[in-house]
Amino acid sequence: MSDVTIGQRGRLYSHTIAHVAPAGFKAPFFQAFVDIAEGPRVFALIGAQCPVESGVLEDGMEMRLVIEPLADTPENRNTLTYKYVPVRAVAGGDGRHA
Amino acid sequence: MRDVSIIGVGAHATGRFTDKAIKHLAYTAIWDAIGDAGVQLRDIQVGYVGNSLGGLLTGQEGVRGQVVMQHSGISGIPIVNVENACASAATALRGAWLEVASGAVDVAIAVGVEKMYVGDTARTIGALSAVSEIDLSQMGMQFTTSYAIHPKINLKEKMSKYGWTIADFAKPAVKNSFNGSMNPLAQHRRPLTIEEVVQSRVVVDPLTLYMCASISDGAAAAILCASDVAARFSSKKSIRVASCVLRSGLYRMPDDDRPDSATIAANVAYEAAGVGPTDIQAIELHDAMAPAELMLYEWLGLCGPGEGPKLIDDKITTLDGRQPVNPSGGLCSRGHPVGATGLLQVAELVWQMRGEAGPRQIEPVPKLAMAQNQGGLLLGQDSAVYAITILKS
Repeated sequence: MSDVTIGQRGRLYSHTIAHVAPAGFKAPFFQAFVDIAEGPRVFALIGAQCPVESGVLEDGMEMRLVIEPLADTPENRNTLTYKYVPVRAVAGGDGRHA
Repeated sequence: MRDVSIIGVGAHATGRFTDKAIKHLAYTAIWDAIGDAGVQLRDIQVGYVGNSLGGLLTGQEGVRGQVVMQHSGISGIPIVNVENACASAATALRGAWLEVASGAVDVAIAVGVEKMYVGDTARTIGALSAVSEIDLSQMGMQFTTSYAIHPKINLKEKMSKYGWTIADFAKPAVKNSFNGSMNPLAQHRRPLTIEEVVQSRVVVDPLTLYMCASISDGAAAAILCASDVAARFSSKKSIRVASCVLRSGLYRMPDDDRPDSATIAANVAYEAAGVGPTDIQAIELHDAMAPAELMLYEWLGLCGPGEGPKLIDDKITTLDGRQPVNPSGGLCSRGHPVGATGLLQVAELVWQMRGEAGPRQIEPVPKLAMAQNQGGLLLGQDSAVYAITILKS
């Protein structure tokens, strides 16, 4: 048995902006499916560097993995998870938490 | 397997009933069904009780079926608890159907009940999220999201591929709100316009508030009986269960080209019933979000790819059409108390097939009807549960 690293890169399959959020999350926030390079399609959140606005993401974009807190909330601030951000620079992104 | 008939149905209205627990909601449905069927309590030999969220929302984690049934005076007989997300009631129906079809019993009851109003919307949303695979709900996945961007639905892709518009997504909600306006059991009884639906607030882009089923309390029940002894209890028109199919979702990779799992379940049901999709004269389907109804038209074989909105434009699926869909008002108008929905659908079809549906009666009275119910979401992309029931009179 040996460890294999997957999911470093992928392609955005679909995305939306959710204007309601379950407990522990802040609306609005992006939700997406990403086809990772190794094959599977995974549900994923989008990294905080992307401003939550329509037009920022485009289905089919190349994405890369980031490891971030699940959400900027007291419940989830200390839980790390996988998220994706576009490989190319995001228009309008200022790096702040959205 | 023996022929099985539904000889009685009952339902509690859907909506917000803050003074009632699940056992009170179920009581109304159970006793309406018993009265409708003409059976005595002692005739009922087995019970299946569907409920999804009661553990998290009421704290009654176990034996909800026995609690609910004993409150209605039914005890001693075998009672089976059924949790299968939003398809819990259809799954309970299948359990009761199998009991009778196998010859184990002559008379069985199926109940579906849900209590979603608990005074804390976030808790209800949390419980609802927890009926999908927990890895998804812990990431903030909600059903509304899945109905917008799920690979099988992907509404933005449908807009570019089929030319569908936001107004097309609103059409099922408008049609169903009209049907629901004539249903005394319905939660939302105001007929909506395309403009109202489109302009209601965005919940998960591009889904708006009136395209989404809301939180709801409710219950429904059905009494099933071996067809050859049905006349002993009831003089009403016998409604035979032509097929009752349950499947679970498939694990799908992005290049998966197998049919949608609703299609797979429906095809099994059509074959078992010896009918085709265009033969069906009344349909209740799982429009938890309005655009899903457009996709289900395709998946159930009612139309070709992208033709969903046309079925409403051409008045095929309207109440006065050739294949009326969601005469009850569907999940968005009649209501979606999740663990009760599958039996609310069946109760509506039984009333329609007996000509008892009042101002929303389908004419001519349908002789062949279908209920489609599904629930849960798995990491493997599909819903967890797919259920189809076909009824014949």
